[in-house]
Amino acid sequence: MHIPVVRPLTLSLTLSLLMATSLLVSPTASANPSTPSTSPSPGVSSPLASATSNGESDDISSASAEIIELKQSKSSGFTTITVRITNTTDEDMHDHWFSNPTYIYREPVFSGVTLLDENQNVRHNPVMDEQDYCSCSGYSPRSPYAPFVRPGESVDYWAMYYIPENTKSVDVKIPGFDPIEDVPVG
Amino acid sequence: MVLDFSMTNLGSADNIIALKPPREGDAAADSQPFALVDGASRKKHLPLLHSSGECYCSNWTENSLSSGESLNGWIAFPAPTAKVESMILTSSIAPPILDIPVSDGDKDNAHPPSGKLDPPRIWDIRSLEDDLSEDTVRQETGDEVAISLSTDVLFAVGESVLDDEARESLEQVANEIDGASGKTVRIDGHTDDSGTDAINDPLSQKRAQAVEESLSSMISRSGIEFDVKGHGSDQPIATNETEEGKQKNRRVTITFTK
Repeated sequence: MHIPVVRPLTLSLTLSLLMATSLLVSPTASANPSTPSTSPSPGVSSPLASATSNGESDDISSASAEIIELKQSKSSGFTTITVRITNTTDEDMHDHWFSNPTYIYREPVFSGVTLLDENQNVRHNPVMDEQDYCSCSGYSPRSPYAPFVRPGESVDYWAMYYIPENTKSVDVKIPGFDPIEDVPVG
Repeated sequence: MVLDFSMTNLGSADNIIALKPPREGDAAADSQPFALVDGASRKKHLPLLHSSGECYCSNWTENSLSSGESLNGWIAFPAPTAKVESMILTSSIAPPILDIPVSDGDKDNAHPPSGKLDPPRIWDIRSLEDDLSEDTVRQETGDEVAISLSTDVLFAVGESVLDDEARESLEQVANEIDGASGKTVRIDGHTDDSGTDAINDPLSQKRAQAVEESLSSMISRSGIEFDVKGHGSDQPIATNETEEGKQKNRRVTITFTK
């Protein structure tokens, strides 16, 4: 029996932001106001949805994708998705194989996951900054970022979008996979 | 604005490489291993740097973290121009952390910079949507909207006279411009990389002019000025290696301030 292994690159961030009228502000002791996120996310037992590769990509010939999180900010349309890719081939699976098949981003990273709003018939691609860096995994590919998934292992990748605040669900399209339909936006 | 953070190795493996402080450099890995996003204005705030190239931060020196070990630090960022309730953190080690509350700090305990600071960097973040019904591409920042109309819809192949179908698409854009505030509308014509510059450059210019002539008659708001250019194939937004990408590149883009 083949048991995928989640890569042990589990760093978490816990943080708080402080601001005053000038830039010179002290970080004071304060409660941690946000929920830590991790990559990969340990302890996530029930993904929102999952799929196996459909064979359309020669590179992504055998893999599974689990949508760990699809969540929108409470104060804007920014929405983030976290996808756990499990490599069930016997070769490394590179992040750039999941890059956007159409649009040009500065780096070929995890920019290819798109969200389709069927009601509006609009497809949302990941957002980018003014130097065309994708707001997605790999935009800053410095260790401990994992640019590939080892055989039998899993890595959590993410991308960020700007979608209307009343969007309830979307279809998620990942390169190499059939669309995953009606994924709820949390 | 100061980000106060803790980074922890939650895995069982020791010697996981710790993310290094930001520093001067062209690559995002250097200049923005951490960035803050102001959702309301759709802006990305990059870490403040000293003129020496070092970050305005706690400049931690730990290279690795053993299992269970944490690293505490702080990073200074340019503050938003307007008061915000929360920010989003993007980093190279974790998915974005949404809705981090912003609170007033204690200026008496501020970290003074150790030298002159580089100018703050606050960048636009741009969304990118395909309207599959209208065959248009919409890109939007906090301040601007750019709508790209497919020249396959607007014109016959190689022509610069608008098709009848084009009118409906342009009327929708005109309505949006009427509801916006900007006085200047940019109209940029583009082609894919098929053919030569000698053909593509004037064709993209003529098509942009044709759109201006039609659009200007549809806009009811007065005082609008147009800035019209043709770029040939020099500014692709999509790959020219696929037919879908080429189709996205064959466009006239209308840009205006919200």
